[in-house]
Amino acid sequence: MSDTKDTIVALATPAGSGGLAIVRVSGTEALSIASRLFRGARLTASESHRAHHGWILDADGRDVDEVLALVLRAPRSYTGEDTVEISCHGSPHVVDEIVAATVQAGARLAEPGEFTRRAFLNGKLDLCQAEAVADLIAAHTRASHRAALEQLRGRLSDRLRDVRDALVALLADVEASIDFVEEGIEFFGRDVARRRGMEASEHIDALLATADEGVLLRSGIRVSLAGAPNVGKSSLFNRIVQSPRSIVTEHAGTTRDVVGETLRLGGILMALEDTAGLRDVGGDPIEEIGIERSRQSHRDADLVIHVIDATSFGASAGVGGNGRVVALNKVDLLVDEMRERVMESEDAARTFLAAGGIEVPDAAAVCAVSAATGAGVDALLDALVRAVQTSRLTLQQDALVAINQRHREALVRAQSALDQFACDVEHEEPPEILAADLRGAVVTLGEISGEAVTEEILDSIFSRFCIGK
Amino acid sequence: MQYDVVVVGAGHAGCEAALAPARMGLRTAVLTLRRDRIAYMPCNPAIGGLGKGHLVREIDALGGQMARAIDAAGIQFRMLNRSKGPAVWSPRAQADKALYSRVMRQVLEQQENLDIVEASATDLIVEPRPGGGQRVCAVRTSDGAEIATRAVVLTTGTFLRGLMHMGRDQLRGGRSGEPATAALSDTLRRLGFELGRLKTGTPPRLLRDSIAFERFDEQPGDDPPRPFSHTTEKLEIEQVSCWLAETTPEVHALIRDNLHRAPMYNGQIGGTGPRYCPSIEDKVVRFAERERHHLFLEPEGRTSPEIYVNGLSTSLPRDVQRDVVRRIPGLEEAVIARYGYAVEYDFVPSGQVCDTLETRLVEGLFLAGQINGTSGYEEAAAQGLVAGINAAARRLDLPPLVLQRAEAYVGVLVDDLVRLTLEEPYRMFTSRAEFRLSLRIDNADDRLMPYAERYGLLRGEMRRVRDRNRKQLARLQELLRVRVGAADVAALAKRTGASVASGPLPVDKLLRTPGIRARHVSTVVPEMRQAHPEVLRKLEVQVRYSGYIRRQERQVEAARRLEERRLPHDIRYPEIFGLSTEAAQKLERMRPRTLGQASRIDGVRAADVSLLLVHLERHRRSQTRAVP
Repeated sequence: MSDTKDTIVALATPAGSGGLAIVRVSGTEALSIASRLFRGARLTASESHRAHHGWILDADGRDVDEVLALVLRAPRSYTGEDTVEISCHGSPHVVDEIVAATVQAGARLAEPGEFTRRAFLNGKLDLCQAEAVADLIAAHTRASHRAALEQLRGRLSDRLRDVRDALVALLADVEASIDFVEEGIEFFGRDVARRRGMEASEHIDALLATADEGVLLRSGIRVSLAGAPNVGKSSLFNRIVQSPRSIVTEHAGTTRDVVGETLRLGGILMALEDTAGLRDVGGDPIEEIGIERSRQSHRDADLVIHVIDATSFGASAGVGGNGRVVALNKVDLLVDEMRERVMESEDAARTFLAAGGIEVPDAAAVCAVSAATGAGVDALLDALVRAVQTSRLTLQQDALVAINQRHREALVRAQSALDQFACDVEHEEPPEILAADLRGAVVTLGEISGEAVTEEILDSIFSRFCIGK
Repeated sequence: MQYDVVVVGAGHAGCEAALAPARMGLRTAVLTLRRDRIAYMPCNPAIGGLGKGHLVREIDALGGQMARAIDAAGIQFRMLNRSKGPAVWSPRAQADKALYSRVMRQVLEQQENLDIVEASATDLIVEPRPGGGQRVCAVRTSDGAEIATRAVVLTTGTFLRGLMHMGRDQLRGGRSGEPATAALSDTLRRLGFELGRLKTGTPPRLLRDSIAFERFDEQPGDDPPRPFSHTTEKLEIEQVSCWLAETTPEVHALIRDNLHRAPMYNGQIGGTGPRYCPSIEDKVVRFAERERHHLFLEPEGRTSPEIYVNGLSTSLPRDVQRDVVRRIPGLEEAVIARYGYAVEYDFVPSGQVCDTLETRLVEGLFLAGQINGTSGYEEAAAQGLVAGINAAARRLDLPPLVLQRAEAYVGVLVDDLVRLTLEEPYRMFTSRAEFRLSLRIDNADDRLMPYAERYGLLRGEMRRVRDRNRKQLARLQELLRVRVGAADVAALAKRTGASVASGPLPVDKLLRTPGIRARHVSTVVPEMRQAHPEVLRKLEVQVRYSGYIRRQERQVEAARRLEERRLPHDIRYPEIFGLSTEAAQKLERMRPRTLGQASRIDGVRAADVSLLLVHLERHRRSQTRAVP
C-alpha cells in the first residue's frame, strides 16, 4: 500500500466526458498546495464547503483556466482528508495542465482508486460502498451509472443479505438438531434441507451470472409503461405478465403507484413497471406522489413503452428519448378497415399517429395492439426484445462494470460450499458436517459485508422453537 | 491470616478456583457459608449435556476436578447425539446431589495447601497500585477477620442481592433456605463496577412415592456407561432411570389463566431470564400453538425422596404450582416437596473482566461463574478453573492461561464473556464453537493437557494416560498405511455390509468407508487391537473428519492472524479518526486484547476493523521509525 501521508491529485470525473471536469487534490497539504496555484482567494483560510471563483496558474504564473475551487476540510470530504476540488473546463489539455501544476506544487499523482481507498481507510465507506464507488467512477453510460448508484444504496448488499438470511435460517435448523437433541422436535428433514440449499445456490448463481453479464443484468432490464391516464397501460401490463397483478378498471387514475413484475423474455430478465398516468391531479398530494414515482420510473428505465390510446390522442404528449417502443392500444375499438391497416404495417400505424399530431422518432418501433383482445401483443413483445438487444449491445460496448473480483470470488467460494452441502446431504452425512458446509457459505457471504454468525443462529433458533428441557 | 489466593464461594466455580492454586503449591483459602453446601447443586441434578459435556472433558484435561467428581457421584450416564458424528457427542450424567457434594468436599478437605473457612466475605480491601489504579490486599469476613491476600476470586453465584420469587412472595436469598449477601454488591459498586441483574428459575420437586412412574416412558442410561474423566478407566455402578412426561392443553389453559400471578408477567421481576431454559409460563405464552411440552422426571439421588421436574421451571404461586402438577397425566397424586421459584441476582456485565477473568479495575481481583453472567455448573467450573490458574499464575510469574476459540470450548466461553453484551444468562452450545469439528471430547487431552503440564496440574494418572494415548495414537497413525489383503477386505465387506472396492486396501481407506468402524478393521490388523478403545476411537474420528478439518484450516488461519494482532492496552478509541461512535464506545468499554476479539464485538463493523488495522500499522511504523 502506498503511503497515505502524501497529498495526491487526479481527475475525479471520467476522462473525456462532459464539458466540465473536476480535479481533486486530497491530503494533509491539499489546501496549501492548491493555494500555490490558485489566484482568487486564500484557500488555506477558507471554511469547509465553500467554493471560490478564481484562476489556476501554471509554474510560470500564466493563467491555465478559470475555475471554481471547492474547499472540503477533514473529515467532511469524500476521502475524509482535507480536499480541494477544482471544477475546470473539460478539455483534456486543460485537465493535464492543472494536474501537472498541482504535481509541481508538491502533490503526487494518485494511483487508480486511491481516493476511494483513502475514503475507506478513513472509515467513510464500507467495503461494498467503496467498491460501488469504484464502479461509479468507471461508469460512463447512464445505465451503468444508475446500477452503480443502486449498489451504493445497498441494493447488492440487500440481495446478498437475502441469500445469507435464508442460509442462516437453514443453519439454525441444523444447529438446533444438534444442540437441542432432547427437545423431541423434528427440526429439519433432508428433503427440505436439500431444497433450501438449492434455492440459495440458485440465488448465488443468479448473482454470479450478473457478475458475468455485467451490471445491467443485476436487476434485469427496467422497462416502464408510460402514457396518459386511461390509455390502457395496466391492461397491457397484465396482458404482458399474464397475471392480474395490477388493478385494472375503467376509471382514470386507478394506478396510483408503480407496480412491478419481473419476467423473462427471449432469455432476458426484465423488470416491467406499470405506472400512474401522467396528468394534472389538481394538487391531490397522494396522487402527486404517485405521479412523481411514475416520472422517476420513466427516468430510471432502460426502456419505456409509450402507450397511446388509438381512440383518443387527446392527452398524449410526445414520445420521449428513451421511448423505443410505442404501443398504439385499443385498436379493437377502431373501425374494422382502420384496425386492419394499422395492424398490418408499422408505417400505417406511424401515419395514423402523425395524422393525430404525434411524432415518433425513427428509431422507435410502433406496434398496434389491443390489450383487451390480445391482438398484436406478441409483435409488441418481439419489438421489445429487439429494442433491448440493441440497447444491450450499446451498453456492452461501453465496457460495463462487473461486480468486482472480490464479490465474485466470495460468491464462487460460497457456491462451492453449497455444492459440498448438497453432496453431503445426498450422502446422508451427519448434521455437524452439514453445519460446517453451511457455516462456510454463510461466513463467506458475510465476508462481503463483514457480519458475525453465532449469535444470529441462536437468535433464530430461540425465536422459532420452544427450547428448554 | 494470610493466603496467596482467597476464593469467595465454594460452588462449582469456587471449588475449581480453590483447587488449582493449591495444587500449584500456593496457600489457598476458600470461604463458604456452610461446609455441607460445598459443590451443591441447587437446580438440575445433572452434569454435562450438549456443549457442557465438552466443557467438563476440557476441565478434566486442564487438571480440574468436575469430571472425576461426577464419575464418582453419577447414577446414570448417557452419551447424547450418538446418532450424529463424534464431534457433537456429549456426555451427560444424572448426579446423586448429596453424594456429589460429599465427594467434592472430601477432595477439598484433603487437598494440601487448601483451607476451608466457614464465613461469608463482607468486604474487599484495596490499596493504590504502584503506577496507578487499585489492587486487592485483603478480604473482610462476617466474623470481622481480615484475610490478607494479593489474589481474590469471587464466585458468588446467585447470592449477590439475591431475590427469590414465588407468586407474590419475595424472599431475600441466594437459593432456597440460604441468605443473600448485599455487602459485596455494595463493595463492587464502591470499587467502580457496574452491576446488572439477571434472572433464573428452578422447577418444583416432587415426592418420589407420590408419582405413578408406570405411566411414563422410561429413559435408562447407556450400557456400558462411559465416564467423563480421562483417568476413569471404568464405571461399575448400577444405573437409575429417568422418565418422560408431557403437559396437556388443560395444563396450558390453567397456566394462561394465572399469568397475572406470575412475577415474570406482572412486572414484579426486572431481570432477564434465559431463552434456552424458559419457565413453563414462558413456553405456554411464546409457543401458544404447541399442545404439549416435554417434562423429564429426574431423581435427585439414588436414595433421595425428591424428583426434579425438568422443564417445569416456574415462579407461579404455590396453589397454582400444585394445580398444574396435578393436571399432568401420571402426577394426579403428586406431592410437591419443594416449590419452584425464580431468583434474581446481581452480575457484573461484560467488558469489566479481561480474558484472564481478572477485573480491569482492581488488580488481583478475579470473577468466575454466575457473577460473569453465565448459568450452569459446567460453565461456572470452567471459569473457576481459568480464574484459579490465572490468580496463581500471577503470583508465580507464569504466563496467563488464555485459550483461543479454535482450541477449546473454554476459550469460546471466556472470549464470549469478555465481548458479548448479555441479555440473558449465558450457556454453552456446540453451535457457539465455530471450529466445532476440531473441539471434540475425544481429543480434549491432546488439546489441553499441554496447558495442564505448563501449570503443574498434570498429575500422576493424567500423565500416564496422556503418554499412553500419545504413544498408541502415533503407532496407529503408522498403521493407517498398512495394506489389508484382498481376502480380508472381502471378508470385512461381507461382515459389515459396506460397499468396498475389491483388492488390497490401506487401513486409511477402509476407515473412510461408511459402515466400517475401527473395531472392524482391528479384527484383520491385529496390532490395532493393542490400542486402548478410546485411542482407537480417536483415530477413527481423526480419519473421518480430516477432509473437513483441512477445509476449515483456512478459517482457523484467518482467525489466528487476527488474534495475533494485539491491540495496545493504552489505545484510545475515541481518538481514532473515522471509527463509528458506537464502535468507539464499545471498544473503549470492552478493551479487547486482540483485533480478533475486537472484530467479534457486536456493533464493530468490518470498516471499523479495517480502521483499527490501519491504526495498528501506523502505530507500528511510527514505533519502528522511533528506534533507529
